[in-house]
Amino acid sequence: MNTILQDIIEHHIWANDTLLAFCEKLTPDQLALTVPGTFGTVEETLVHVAANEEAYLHGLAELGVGDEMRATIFDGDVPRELAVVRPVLVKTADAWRRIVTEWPQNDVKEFPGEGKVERLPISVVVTQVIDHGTEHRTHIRTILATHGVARPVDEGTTEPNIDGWAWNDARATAS
Amino acid sequence: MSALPRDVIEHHIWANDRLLAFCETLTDDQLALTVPGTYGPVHKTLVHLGEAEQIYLSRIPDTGITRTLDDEELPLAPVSEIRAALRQTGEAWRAVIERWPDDHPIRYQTREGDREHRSVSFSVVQMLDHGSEHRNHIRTTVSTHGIEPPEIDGWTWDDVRRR
Repeated sequence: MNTILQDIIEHHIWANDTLLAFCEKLTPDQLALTVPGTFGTVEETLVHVAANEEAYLHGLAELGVGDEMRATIFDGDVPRELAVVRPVLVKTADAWRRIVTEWPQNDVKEFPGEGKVERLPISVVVTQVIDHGTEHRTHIRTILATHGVARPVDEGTTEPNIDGWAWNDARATAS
Repeated sequence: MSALPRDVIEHHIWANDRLLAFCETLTDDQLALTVPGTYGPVHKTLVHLGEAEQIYLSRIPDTGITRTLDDEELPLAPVSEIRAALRQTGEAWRAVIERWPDDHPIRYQTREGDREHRSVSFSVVQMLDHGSEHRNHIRTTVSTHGIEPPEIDGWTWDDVRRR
């Protein structure tokens, strides 16, 4: 198991969880906030993050990578609301941990796309989930800062602090 | 060396360069744009992105990287200089993860004089998160002002590299 990859995934999982815990304390009006240049409201963005984590893993599972994963949000099995985000992200976190442990050598798989089949390495999906998560977590923190819901922290970003330093401090405290 | 972390870093290097190439086409007025909830003006954020990578790498042995960028220093470094600096740091990150594919402890002294014990892996995590956060500040800023930013997600990166 590669420590660098493991740490990248662990930070991603922790950052999702920390931001979600912050947002679970917001009022419905605060969850409905947005600003231009972002994905949408805070709640819509959180659901979008969780929905795509499921969808990426569902696609991988169909190719034999990882365990079966239903895309419950995209398929409409559950409502698109904040309450569904935590159970989905708990499930997807475990799945990402298993994938980076069991597939470190980055096998190339055939992904069915729009009218064609593409041969992609697993790393593309791992790269996408990390980038996608950071992009939308940044959107949410920008929204909250713009509306004065979140306070500034170091280096021009806003609470909750979910950078690498904060993650490292949190895991040191936990251990 | 597992290909998984290598590709995550290759995407980061590519996304930085693609965004810098886009920003090289902006006017001074556009580089001065900002919106609330972000780091600040586009140009200042770009310098910050570059200086942070230089600082992280300067703490890792033998990278050859020193800090040349400072977002508190006026006039701000030209975008072309930031892009060149990020190409250097990109090469340095590649070398770091080849040399220490499964982590390595590092010790350094901060600007405040504190002695810190961290690791290569931690530095990579912070570099990735920091870069993505500030790239997205810039994308949010320009799109808010009606300028279409480039796509820099993982799917686009893979499409571009396979062309």
